[in-house]
Amino acid sequence: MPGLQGENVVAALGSPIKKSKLSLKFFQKKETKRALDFSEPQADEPKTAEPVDSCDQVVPGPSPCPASPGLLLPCEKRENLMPFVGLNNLGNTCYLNSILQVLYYCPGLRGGIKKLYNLTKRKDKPKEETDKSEEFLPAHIELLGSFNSLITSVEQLQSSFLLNPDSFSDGELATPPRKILHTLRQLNPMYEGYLQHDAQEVLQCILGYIQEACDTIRKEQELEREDNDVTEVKMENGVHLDSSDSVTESKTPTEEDGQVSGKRKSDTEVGNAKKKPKSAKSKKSEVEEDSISRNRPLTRSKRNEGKAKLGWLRPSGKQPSIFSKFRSVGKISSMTVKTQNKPEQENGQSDKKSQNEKNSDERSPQNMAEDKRAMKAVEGLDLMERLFQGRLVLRTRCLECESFTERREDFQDISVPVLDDQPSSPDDLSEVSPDPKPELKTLKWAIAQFASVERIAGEDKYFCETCHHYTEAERSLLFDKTPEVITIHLKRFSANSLELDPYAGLSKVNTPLQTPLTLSLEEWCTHPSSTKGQHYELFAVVMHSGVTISSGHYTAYIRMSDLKDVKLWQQDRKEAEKEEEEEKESKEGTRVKEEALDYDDGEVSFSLNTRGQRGASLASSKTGGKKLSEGGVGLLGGQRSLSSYELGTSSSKHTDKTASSGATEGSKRRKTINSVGQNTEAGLKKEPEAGEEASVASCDGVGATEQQALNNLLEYEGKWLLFDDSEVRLFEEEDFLRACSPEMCSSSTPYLLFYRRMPEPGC
Amino acid sequence: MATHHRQNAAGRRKVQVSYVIRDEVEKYNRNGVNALQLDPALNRLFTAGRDSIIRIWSVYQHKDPYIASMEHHTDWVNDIVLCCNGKTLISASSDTTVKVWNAHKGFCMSTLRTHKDYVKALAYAKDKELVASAGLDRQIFLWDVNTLTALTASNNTVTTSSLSGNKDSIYSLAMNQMGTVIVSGSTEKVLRVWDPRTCAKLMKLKGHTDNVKSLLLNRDGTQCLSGSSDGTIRLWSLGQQRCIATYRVHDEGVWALQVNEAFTHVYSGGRDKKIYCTDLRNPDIRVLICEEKAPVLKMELDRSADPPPAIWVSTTKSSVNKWSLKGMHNFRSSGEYDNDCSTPLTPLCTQPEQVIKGGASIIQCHILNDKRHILTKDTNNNVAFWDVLKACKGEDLGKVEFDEEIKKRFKMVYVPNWFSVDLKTGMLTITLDESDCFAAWVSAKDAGFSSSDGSDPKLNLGGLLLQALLEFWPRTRINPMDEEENEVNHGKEMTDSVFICMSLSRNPFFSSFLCENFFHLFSSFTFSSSVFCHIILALA
Repeated sequence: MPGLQGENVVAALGSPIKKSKLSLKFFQKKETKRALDFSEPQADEPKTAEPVDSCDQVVPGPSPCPASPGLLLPCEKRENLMPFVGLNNLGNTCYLNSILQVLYYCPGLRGGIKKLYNLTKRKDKPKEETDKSEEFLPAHIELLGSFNSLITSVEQLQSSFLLNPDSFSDGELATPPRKILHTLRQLNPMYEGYLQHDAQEVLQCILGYIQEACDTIRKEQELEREDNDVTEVKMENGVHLDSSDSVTESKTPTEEDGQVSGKRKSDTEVGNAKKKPKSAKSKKSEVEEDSISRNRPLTRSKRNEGKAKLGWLRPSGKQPSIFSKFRSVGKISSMTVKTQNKPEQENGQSDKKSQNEKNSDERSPQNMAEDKRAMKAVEGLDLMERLFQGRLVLRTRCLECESFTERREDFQDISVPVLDDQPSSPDDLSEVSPDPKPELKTLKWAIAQFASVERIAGEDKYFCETCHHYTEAERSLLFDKTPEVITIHLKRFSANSLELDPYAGLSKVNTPLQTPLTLSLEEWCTHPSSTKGQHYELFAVVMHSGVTISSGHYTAYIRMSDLKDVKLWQQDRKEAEKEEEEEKESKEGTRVKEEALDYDDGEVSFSLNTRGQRGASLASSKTGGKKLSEGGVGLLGGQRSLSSYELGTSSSKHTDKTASSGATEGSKRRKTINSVGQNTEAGLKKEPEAGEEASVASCDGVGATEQQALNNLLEYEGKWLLFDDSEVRLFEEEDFLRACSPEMCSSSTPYLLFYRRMPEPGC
Repeated sequence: MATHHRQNAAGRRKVQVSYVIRDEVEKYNRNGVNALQLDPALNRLFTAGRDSIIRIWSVYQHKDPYIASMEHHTDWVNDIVLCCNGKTLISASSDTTVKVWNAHKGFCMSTLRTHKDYVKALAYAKDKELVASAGLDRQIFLWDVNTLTALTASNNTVTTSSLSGNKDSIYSLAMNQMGTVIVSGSTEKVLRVWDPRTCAKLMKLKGHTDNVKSLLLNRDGTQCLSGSSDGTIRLWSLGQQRCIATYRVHDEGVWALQVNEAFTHVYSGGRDKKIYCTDLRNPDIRVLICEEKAPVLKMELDRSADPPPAIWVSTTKSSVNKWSLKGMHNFRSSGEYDNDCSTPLTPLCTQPEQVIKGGASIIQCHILNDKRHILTKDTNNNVAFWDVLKACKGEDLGKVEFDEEIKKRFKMVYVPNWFSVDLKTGMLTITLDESDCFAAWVSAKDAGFSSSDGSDPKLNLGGLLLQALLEFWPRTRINPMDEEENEVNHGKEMTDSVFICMSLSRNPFFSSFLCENFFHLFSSFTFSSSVFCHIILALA
């Protein structure tokens, strides 16, 4: 491993130079970045390359979007740093950053994740004892872990800033969400590479995986309860995974989805349980293969400068598929959406996998049903259901006898229109008492559209069981159960007639929609009179800026609340945490390598197969175009703004003096790009350190400073903050409102609205 | 019998033949009653049934009030109005037609086929003998009754004016006695007002939050009462173009309204089965008249005296009740009315003064595997066994377990579907569709026919049935008075039987089928005499 250092430095040295070039030429920049990715594995040839990390490191520089409106100059920001932690852009990951920020500040979620994570740890421990090397962690459990560690990092970073703001005076307060991005990519290969993605999809994805993790934990607990022989369970998990054990069954497909995608068939065929040992064993052989195949990427990247650019500009295989899920009927993206997502990313991939997808599709509803039945609900396991999941009722009422039938369906977010699809008829104008058309559509209108009454009339009447007759009927959507946090997805896209090109077929709708700070769902609830807590307040908005749906930049406005609950990381607490962290690191050390290998492998095969994939992508884009009417569409975003790009470089100059060099960390650190050789470390590693430093510094006057720090923080209670990747800025409410509900069309528009239930006035 | 026009998507006409298996004389309503009309001169009550039959009852004949049936509709009769001092009755039906009847003799004079969907409501302006019809096709047509009754076979074109502008299905309609204002209520939730003389739109009245199912206008058309599925009754001033009062007396949708001559007291009924009388000037003064056993569909005031001595009420059940209002008169004069809305009122009457008994309607059916027999269950939980081929009831099984009976009569045979059944009228309606009515071939022995020469030919069930229908076409049904009937159908005019033969012969398979020699088999295949086969030809 130490041997790697040199090579990495070479790679690291290379990147900043390229970056500076790139920042001038917008398109080439992306191209070069890609070139870098390919060249680096080569440099690492003798050893297991770690492109994951090197990629991540390289990326912070890329893709400033030519014009990203509404951004302040970076210098402004540096002057008054907010005591809130931003997230570094890891290459078009602003879609992820904005969502993570919202989730971080989502009331109740942070604590819930921690609790869940502790549950998984308890679970995993016995396993580690028996076979540490064969440690088995389903990827969605891992996501829980990486999310937890992100939360921890952010909290620690915040604490350290609060206690010692001066140490951050010349830098920025941000951490890269590297680990969670990595896990996400493992879970869902769609997020590999540096493409821009839809924030709503990534939100669905993350929530879905956490839900899966909850389910897995719950199942494991049940299993444990059933047969107290823990080891047996383990054996089953470890040995014959493909057997019909319920736990493993539910895991198998997802795991494969996540990990297989980048891998070769040989790996796919090997069972999951054996995946890790196998990959370790086959490392050598793979390295050999790789060394052969790597020649190609190299040459490619070299002669590539001009040529591959075209390839890069073309939509990649995965992108069009995203558009194929324009759900015209699907007003509801229910729990099953997460499984729906998968088949699409797999477009143009092996049949075997799509088979897996189907299996998982079939299984998931079943699983959920089972889960509900076995609602022994260990505390915290219903986190997702409680926070995000509501229930809708589809009610069909016969207009003749006025009796109705109902169907219930769970939802995690609601998609509402921003445009009226039926333009008012000229007939309206001649009305005797025409009602004035409201100029600006309100959110209330949009929800009313969502819950609008559909009439079953004319040729296709409804057969009423009571009347024994075909009658007219009304079908309406109502909220039966509302979640703590209601996510409103604004359908900011409209289908054009041009169906050939999946991008041209859809355009972004910038029509403003009035976004109120509070919202009442009473009107659309099943029991309007008895509902008390149907009042919601806005706490976060994910904004999308960009004129097209295929690119843009995501930012998040979040209203600070419950800041009094923020605790500073104490010495002793942190100590324990640190141990944990170290333990994790040592685990990670090995794992990261393996993953890196997988990843690398994927990259190679990708570069080999680009042509094929393109072909497939063309095909899939065609089908995508056809499917437009049934699938869902999102807004893609992920570009970095120029300013934040500069911030990114400045942050890399900021040196971390306290970085301790453990053996494991060494491997991380050598990937630094920074010319000085110092770096912002992989976020997870750095923060405990920083936290320690801060708390050590404040050791003497702890009480007072802490109080002071917390008081400082409390000033922000109820204030709106703009999280633009690593940048955090304060917004006055009226400024926020102006940004949110602009007078005229602006390309920067709210995309996801997050409302939280307001506490009952009585309580 | 009647013809149906059902245009399918391709624009091609689909041929359907339907027949109802029923008694020759159906003396009782077999399903809910959608509308009521009293003829005060002859003391007759007309009921418009969901069983497609309009029946005439003698109000004073308590024991056996049935006088006659007026059968021509093939689907629910939704509304009726009595015009020309009781000489003419106009009916609107879900078979999309409006029919003009000689109310005294009980025959159909003409059929108006201008609507394209269920016709739900009629309105009548007595002073002008003007009738309006409206329905789910959003159209309102105005008819001059004198023209309608003067239609003959040679002069059968009617000019109507239509009122346009409705955006949704119309469920209620009202016209004032002078014929100066017409109001429609629809799922659009607004009331739309026209002047029928000029067909000009006058106004839109907004306020209801659900479908408007009942409307009334006062004599000069200045005030309007509306009853809505949102559970409220509203009083509107057409002069001021606004709602002047809202009455919340019902727990559920208000489906029927009646008002006294002076427009001071409204009688209302609806889904909550209760009938209230509310003082329009003082809504606190309201009386619960009675509680029915099913949702109230229509009410008719006995206006032989003022205040009205009784009210006729029809519901989704087949019996029609007359409730006395005399008690309320005492009640009101004594000043003991309940004006506390919070406490439940005790009904003025617990027993109806008079009941026109209804029959049972079939609510459940199961086609047995042999595709010839049907098991049914009616509202009295009686199970019956029917033979579709002979068009008769095979057996009354009484109150037995329906599912058990299905299991018991299960046969291990496969016969393709060749007919469909519907129960919308409360009676068995068998429909043969040209696409599959000749699908079922069975051996003659299996079907229980013995041929003279001992051979076992294959029989086509649908073919047999159609042949039998024509063979035993009930000549008696062609009432001499029916000859007067005119088809107001864009100049096309023909008698029903001609119509049937023509449409059947258009099907090449059917005509060739007619040539085959199955006639000798018919000796063993006759309709039971007790069952009257009523044929409906659906030409789509």
